[in-house]
Amino acid sequence: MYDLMLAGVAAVFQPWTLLAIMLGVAGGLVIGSIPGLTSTMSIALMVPLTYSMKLEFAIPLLMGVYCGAISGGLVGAILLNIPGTPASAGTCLDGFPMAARGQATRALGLAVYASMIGGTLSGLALVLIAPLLAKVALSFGPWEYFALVIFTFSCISSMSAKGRAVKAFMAAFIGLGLSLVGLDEASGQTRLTFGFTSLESGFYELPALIGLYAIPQLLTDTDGIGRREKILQVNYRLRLFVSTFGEVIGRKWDLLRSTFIGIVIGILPGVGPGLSNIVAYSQAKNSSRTPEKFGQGELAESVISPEAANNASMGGALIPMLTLGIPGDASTLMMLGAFMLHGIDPGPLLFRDHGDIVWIVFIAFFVAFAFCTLLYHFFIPITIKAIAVPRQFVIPVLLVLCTVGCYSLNNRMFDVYCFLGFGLLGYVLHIVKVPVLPVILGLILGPMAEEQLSLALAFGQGSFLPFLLRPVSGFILLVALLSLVLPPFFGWRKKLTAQRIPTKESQNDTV
Amino acid sequence: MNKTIALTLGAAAMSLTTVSALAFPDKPIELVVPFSPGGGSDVAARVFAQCLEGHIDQQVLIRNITGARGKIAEVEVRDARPDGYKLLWAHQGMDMGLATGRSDYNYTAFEPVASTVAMNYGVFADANSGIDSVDTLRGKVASDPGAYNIGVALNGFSHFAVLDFLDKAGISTDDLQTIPMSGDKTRIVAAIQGNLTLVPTAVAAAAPYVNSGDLSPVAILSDERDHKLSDASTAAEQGVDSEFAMYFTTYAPANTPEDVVDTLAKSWLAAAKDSSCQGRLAQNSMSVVAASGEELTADLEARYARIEELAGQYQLGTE
Amino acid sequence: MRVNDLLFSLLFILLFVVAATQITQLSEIASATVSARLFPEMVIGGGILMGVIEMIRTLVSRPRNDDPGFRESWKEAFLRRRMYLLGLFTVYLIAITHVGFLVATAVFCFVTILVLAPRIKPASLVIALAVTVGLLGLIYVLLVVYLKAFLP
Repeated sequence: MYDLMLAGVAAVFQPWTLLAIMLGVAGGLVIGSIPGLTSTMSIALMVPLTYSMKLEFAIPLLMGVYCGAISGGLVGAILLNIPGTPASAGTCLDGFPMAARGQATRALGLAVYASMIGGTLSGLALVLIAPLLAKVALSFGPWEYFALVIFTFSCISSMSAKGRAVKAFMAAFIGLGLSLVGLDEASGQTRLTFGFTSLESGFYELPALIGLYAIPQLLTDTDGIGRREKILQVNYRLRLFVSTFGEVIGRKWDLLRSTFIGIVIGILPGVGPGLSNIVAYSQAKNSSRTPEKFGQGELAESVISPEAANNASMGGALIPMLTLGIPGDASTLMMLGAFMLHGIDPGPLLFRDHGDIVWIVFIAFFVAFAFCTLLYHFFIPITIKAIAVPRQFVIPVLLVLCTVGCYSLNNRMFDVYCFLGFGLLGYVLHIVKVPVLPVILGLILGPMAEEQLSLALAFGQGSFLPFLLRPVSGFILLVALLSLVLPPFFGWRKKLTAQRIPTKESQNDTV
Repeated sequence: MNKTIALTLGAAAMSLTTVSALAFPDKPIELVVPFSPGGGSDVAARVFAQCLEGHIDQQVLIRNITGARGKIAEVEVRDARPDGYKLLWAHQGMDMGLATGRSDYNYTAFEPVASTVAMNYGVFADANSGIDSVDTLRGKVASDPGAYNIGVALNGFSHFAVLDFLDKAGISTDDLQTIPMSGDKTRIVAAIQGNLTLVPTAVAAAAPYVNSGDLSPVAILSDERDHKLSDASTAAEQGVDSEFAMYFTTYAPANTPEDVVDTLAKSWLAAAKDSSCQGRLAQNSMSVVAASGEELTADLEARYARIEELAGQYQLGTE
Repeated sequence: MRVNDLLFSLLFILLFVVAATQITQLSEIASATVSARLFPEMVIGGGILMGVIEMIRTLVSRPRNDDPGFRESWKEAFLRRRMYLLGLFTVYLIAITHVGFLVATAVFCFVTILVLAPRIKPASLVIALAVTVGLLGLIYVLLVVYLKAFLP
C-alpha cells in the first residue's frame, strides 16, 4: 500500500501536474463563484478536453476543477445571495446576512477555513476507511433512503423562522409538485405535462435553483441603484481574514458534527453535497443555545456548519465512486465517464487492479484542497471588491451568465425559460414572504422519494412495515418525528410558562 | 441604431449558411447524444467521435441533451434544419417509444445515416442467488415461481431486452416479479444488496461486478462472447436464440439531401472499419456493426418488427 | 400581509386541485407492481392538507400591526426599475432564438445598463460599452477555448 501511495505522490508532485491542479482549481473557483456557471457545467466542459490527455494528468486536473468549482460556490452565496449549486444553498442563509452587516471578510473567512477543514477531514476518511464506508453505503436500501428523505424534510421545520414552518412546508410541496412533472423514468409514464413535449423532461434542479435565487435577488437589487447606501466594509484586511481561522477552530463541535453529516450523506450515492449542507445547518441550529440568532448573520457556526458539510461530502462522494463504481452526483458521473474512456473500469476491483490510479485521486484531492485554500487568499480580495461595483453593471452581466450557464447544462433553450419561470415563482414567493429553499429541497427530493418509496414497496410486497422494522430506517424516522414534534412542544411549554408569570403579576397588581 | 446592426449581422449570418451548402461539411458537425455525459451511450458516442477524426474533414462535436428518455433530443434533431450538421445518436429506445404509445414517431421520421456501434447487452443475476446460466434460471424459477424478481425500466430498452430473452428461453413473466427501476447502476446495486435477482444491463457496466464476484452472468445477448467477459456464454450457446444488443444508429433529419447523407455514411463506415477504432470499442464492450443504405433500412425494419411484436405480446403501453 | 397569506394559500390549493385532476387521468400499467399514481397522490394530498392548515391558521391568528399592508407589499413589487429589468430580460430571451445569442446579448447588456443607470452621462455610455464588449469577449473565449456547441 505504501509503495502505491508513494507512487501516487510521485505522480502528482510533478511540476506540470501540480500546475494542472492549480489551473484547475483556479478555473473552478472562478466558474464556481460566478452564479449561473456551475460545477456540473465546468466539469462537463472539462471532461472532453481530458480525453486526449494522459490519465496521470487528466485526473489531477479534474480533481482540481471539482474541488475549486464546488468550493467556489460559497463566494456567490455570501456576496450575492445567489448559490451556484444546491451545495451552497445553506451558506446563503447566514453568509449573506453576515456580509450585509458589513462583515463580508469574516463570512468569507469562516466559510473558506471551514471548507478546508471539512474537506481535509473527509479526505482522511477517504484514505483511511473508504472500504468500510463503502459497506455502510451499500447497507442503505430503499427503505433507509426514503427515511433519509423524510428526515431531510423534517429539517425544514427546524430551519424556518418561528410561525413560518407551515409556509415552508407549503413551499416544499410546491417543489415536490413540480418534481412530478414529466416522464417517470422507472414506469415510463408521463405526468402533468398538459400535452407539451418539452415538459416531458421535467424540471432540472440547477436552472430552478439559480432562477429562484438570482431573479428575485437581482430585481430587488435594482432598488439600491443610485441611492447612497451605507457603504459596506469592502476593504479587505488579510489579518482579519486569517483571524477567522481561530474562530473556526473554536467551534470544533459544530465543525465535527457537520463534517460527520457531510461524509455520511456524501457516501450515499445520489444524495451528495446538495443536502448535507442543509441538514448540517438545521442540526447546528437544533443544538445551538441561541437558535433564534440563526439567520441573522451573527453566529460563526451558522456559516461554518453548511460549508464544512458540503466540502466533507465531496470526499464522501468519491468513496462510492472509487470503491463501487457508483457515481454520487452529476460531477462524479462525468468523472467515471472519463475513467471509462481511458480504459479503466470503475468498480469494486478498482483498488486491486488500479491502486496507483486510486492513490493519484487521493493525493490530488488533498493537493487540490491545499491549493484551493491558498488561492482563496488571493482571490477573495478581488471578489470582495465586486460588491462595490455599481449594481447596474453587475445585474445584466449576471443575468447573461446565468442564461449561458442554464443553457449549457443541457444545451436547450427550454432550461433558460425554466430559469425565468422559476425566477418569477421565486419573486412571487419573495413578495408573500415564503422561503425558496424548501422549493429546491422538494424538487431534489421528490424524484428520490418516489423512486425509493416504490422500490421499497415493490421489494417488500407492498408492505410499509419494513420502514419501521429495519433498524436504520426506523431510527432515522424516529429522529425525524422527534425533530418535527419536539420544537413546537417546547415552544408551547415555554409559552405556557411565559403566560403564567405575567398573569400572576397582573393579579398582584390588582390586589 | 442597434437594431440595424442586429439586422445586418443577422443577414450576414444567413447568407453564410446558404453558401455553405456548396461543400459539405464546412463547419463542425453536431452529434446529439440523448443521454447524460459519462453514461454508456455517451462514452460510445465519444469513442466513436474520436474514431471519426481523420475520416471526415470537420470536427464532430458531442452535444448532450437529456430528458424524457431521449425524446427531447430526438424531437430536437427531428425538427432541425435538414442540412446534415445536426445528427442524432440513438438506439432502439426511440422505436420503443412508438411501440408503447409514449411517443408518436420512430426511426422512419429520420434519415438513417449509418449504424456503427453495438453495445453488448446481457442478463445478470445476484451471485448469491445461485443462478448462473439459462438452465439454472429455468430450474429455479420453475421450482419456486414468484420468488425471484427482475428490475427493468418499464417499456424501456431493458424491459424489451429481457422480454425477448425470456420469451425465447420459454420462461413466463408471470413467474417473475417485475420491478420498475431505471439505470444500470441502480439495478446492479440492488442486486448486490440482495434485493434484486435478475439484472438486465450493458455488459460494460456489469463486467467489473462480475469480476469481483458480486454478479454472475446468465446470458450475453449477442452473437459473440464479450471481449471483457470471455467466460460468460451467450444466449445462443445455451440454446436460446436471443440477440438484443444496443445498436447505435446515427440519424439525420428527414429530407436531408442525399449526397450529404452519402458523404456522412461513407465517413462513418470508414471510421467503423478502422482496426484501431475497433480495438478501442472492444475495450469498452462494444463491437462494430457497420451498415448503411438499404442494408441499414432492412435491419431497422426487422428490429422494429420484433419490438412491435413484443409490445403486442406482452401488452406493453399505457393505452 | 393577511390578505397576501390568504391569497397565497388559496392559489396554492387551487394549483394542487388542478394537478389532482390530471393525476387521476393516469392509467395503470398492468406490469407495474407499484402504481405510478401512489406518490403523486401522496404529494397532492399532503400539499392540499398543508394549504388548508395554513389557511385556517391565518384566519384564526390575530392580525399583527407591524406587517406591511397588502397594498404596500404589491406596490413595492411593481417598482419601475424592477419591471423594466424583468421586461428587458424576457424580451432578451425571446430575441435569442431570432437574432442569435451574440447580438441579443450585446444589445441587452448595453441597454440594460443604461436603463438601470440613475442618470446617463457620456462616461456611463463608455463604461456600458466596455462592459458589454468585455462580457461578450469573456463568453466567447470561454466557449471557443472549450469548444462547445452554442446558442442558436
